[in-house]
Formats: sequence, C-alpha cells, structure tokens
Amino acid sequence: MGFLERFKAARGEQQETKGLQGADTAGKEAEARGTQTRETASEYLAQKAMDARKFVGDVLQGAKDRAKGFWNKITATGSTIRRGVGSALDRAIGTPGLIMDIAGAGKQAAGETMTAGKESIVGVVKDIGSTFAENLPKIATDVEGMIRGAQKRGSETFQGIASGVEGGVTEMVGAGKEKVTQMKESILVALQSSLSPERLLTVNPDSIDQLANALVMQGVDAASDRGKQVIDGIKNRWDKGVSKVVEGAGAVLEGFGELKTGIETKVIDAKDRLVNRAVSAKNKFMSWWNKSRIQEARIGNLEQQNTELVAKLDRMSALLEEMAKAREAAPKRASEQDIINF
Amino acid sequence: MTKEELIQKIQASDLEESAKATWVARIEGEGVTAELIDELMDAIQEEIEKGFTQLGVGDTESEEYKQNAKAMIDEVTVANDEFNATMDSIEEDAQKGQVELLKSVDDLQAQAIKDSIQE
Repeated sequence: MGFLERFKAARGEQQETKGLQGADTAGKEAEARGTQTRETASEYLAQKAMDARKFVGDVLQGAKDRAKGFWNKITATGSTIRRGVGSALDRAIGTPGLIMDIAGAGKQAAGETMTAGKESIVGVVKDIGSTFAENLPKIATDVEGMIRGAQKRGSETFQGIASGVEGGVTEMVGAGKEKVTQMKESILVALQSSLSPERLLTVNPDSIDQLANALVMQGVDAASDRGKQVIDGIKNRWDKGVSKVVEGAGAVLEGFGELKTGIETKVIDAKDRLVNRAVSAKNKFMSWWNKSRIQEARIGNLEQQNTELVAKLDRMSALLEEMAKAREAAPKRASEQDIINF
Repeated sequence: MTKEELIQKIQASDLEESAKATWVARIEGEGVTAELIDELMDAIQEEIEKGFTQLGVGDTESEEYKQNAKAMIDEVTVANDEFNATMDSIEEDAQKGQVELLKSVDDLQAQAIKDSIQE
C-alpha cells in the first residue's frame, strides 16, 4: 500500500473515531441504564431489603459500564493517534527507507563494499540504545536480507520502517532530537561507506527522491562532489522533515499522555466518591436492617427456639460493623486497573 | 485493619470452614483493600440472610423499613446523579482534547507531505 493509501486509511480511522466520540455508544447505553435504575427506585422501595441491596449493585454496575466504555474509547483514540503519528513519520522518514534501497543497489554494484555499510547500519541500531532503536532491528534485517540478494525493496522496506516507528514512537519522544540527530549522522556515515564509486550521473540535486532513485539504479561515489551533494540533500531532508515531524509527534503524544492521565484521575475520583457513598449508605441500611430483624426474632420469641442461630446472627452483624469501619481506612485498588475492575 | 488482624477476624467468625479458607487465601494474595472488604461483607450478609430465612423473618414492609430503605436509595441516587454529571463533564473535556489532538495529527501528516513536496 502506498503512502497516499495509508494516509487516507489513517484519515478514515480518525473520522471513524470522531464519529464514535459523537455516538459514545457505551457511555450512552450505561447512562440509559442509570436513568432506568432511577425510574425503578420506587419499585425497589416496595420490595424486600435484598432488592434494596440489588439497587445499589445495579447503580454501581451502571457506573462501571459507563466508566469502562469511556475508558475503552480513550484507549482506542490513543491507538488512532499513534497510527496517525506513525503515518506522518512514515512519510517524513522516507529518505532512510531509500537509503536502504541505495544500500541494496550499492551491494549489487560494488560487491563486498556493502558489508561495511551493513555493519554500520546494524551498529547504528545497536548503538543508539533507545527503545526506538530496539524496534529498528527489522530495518537492519531488511538491509541484511537485501545484502544476501533478496529482493526486498520499496514498499516492504517502507512498511518495515513504518511498523518500527509506530511501535517505538512513544519512546522516541523521550529519546528526543539528540538521538534522532545521532541516528541521522550514523546513517549518513553508513551510506558514505557503502556507496559504490564511479556511478554518479546527472541527477537533480534538488529532488531527493529523484536522486535516491537514480542512486538505486546507478550507484554513487559518496566522496565525489556529486555524492556530497546527494548526501547533503539527504541530510537536509532529514533535518527539515524528520526532526520537525518528530518534534510535532512528541507534542501530540505528550498531549495525549496528559489527557489520558487527567481523565484517569478524574474518573477514579468520581468513581471513588460514588462507591464510597453508595457502600456507606448500603452498610448503614443493612446494619439497621439486620438489627431490626434480630429484634423482631426476639420479640416473636423465635430466639428461645433458635438461641444459637440468633446469637450467631448477632455476632455476624457485629462483624459486619467492624468490617464497615475497616473499609473506610482500607486502601483502594489503584490506577487504570481500577477503572476497569471497580 | 492489618492483613493479620483481618485473617484473625475471619478465622474467629461464624463463616463455614471452606469459606474461611477461601477468604484467608484471598486476603493473603490481595491484601486488605476496600474492594475486598466490600466483597467479604457481601458474603457475610449472604450468610446472615440464610439465617433470617431459617428463622422466618425478613419479609416485613413496615413503615420504618420503607423510611430506612428510602433514605438509602435517595442517598445512592443523589451520588449516582453526581457521578453521571461528573462523567458528562469529563467526557466533554476529553472530547475537546481528542478533537484537538486528532487535528494536530492531521496537521502533522499535512506537514510531512508539504515538506516532501517542497524539497
């Protein structure tokens, strides 16, 4: 799939997500359930205490569904954003992809010369030491594959880079521009060391794609004036494109991270307030209800026939009150897991 | 309440031995959390309900019961309304943030295309 198709696909996914935001199916359904729960509250009042307990359970389940549906939507948006950023980087980082093609062509044209280039590129991957770099071995594998005579070229190489970037782009933000610059310089060094001599013909130095395509077909002497022009062109392309896009990608991903963290905190706070109030109200009611029924048993002389059972109920009722106090001081389950599980 | 104290309470309780073993294992594994205590309280209440059924009490619809149940349901309903209002607000803010971020992604992709065309 060409870049334009991938770009269109990414746009389509974004539009789809925007549509989901409007519909917010899970949240709306949960809200509808909450409304229904409110409408049936009067019905609960006419029922037994067990149904009153069920009312609390239903309310909490409705809240859980809403929070979980919302959280899933946020997570899906994150995936769309990462794919979009990966797509932009895919476009911007096209030059290194062409470098791989150049390297492959260089190998065919200059025999063993390419070995040094391959090792340099693999070395770059290992030396950068970031998680981004850890996602790049596929690129090195592609290069190695080409060196072995495989016909891995063009779109496959681009796809390899795209997937590597998509997986590693979050960490790349942390690695920052310095790492990107290091990588660029290392790749340029690798390119210089791997290009074959005596092959530079007339190409337009202002068009990096044309240059690169010509190089793929013809090979190039990187040490010649023309070769230096080519390398400068690639360097400029990297500086102008990749660094800028990486910077923008960093801002977008950091923005999403902040949004997600803020949402997580607010949803957990809202959930904790609801759960604490609902559980507290339920415990208060059940404590009264248990005592009331024990009293009823005593008044009805049921205790005389069931002394042991009533004593047991008394003890268990007291235990519940102790548990209710312990709950107030107990810590909650934490973080994202909490949103999903509460 | 510490893990050891809670286990001690469970061991000394009127729960059945198999239930005690299950809860002790869970407390050992998960520690004492509010969520675990909620589940434990539900389990204890279930046992209490069995006892009342055995005694033959609990189906009253007295005015006192209705008042207490209404107070509980009202409190939970208000809390739930507040939760939904808060979630509405969070979702509104989140949607604005998402739209801005997706617009930034669009801009980023447009920038990448523009750069490659201008080279």
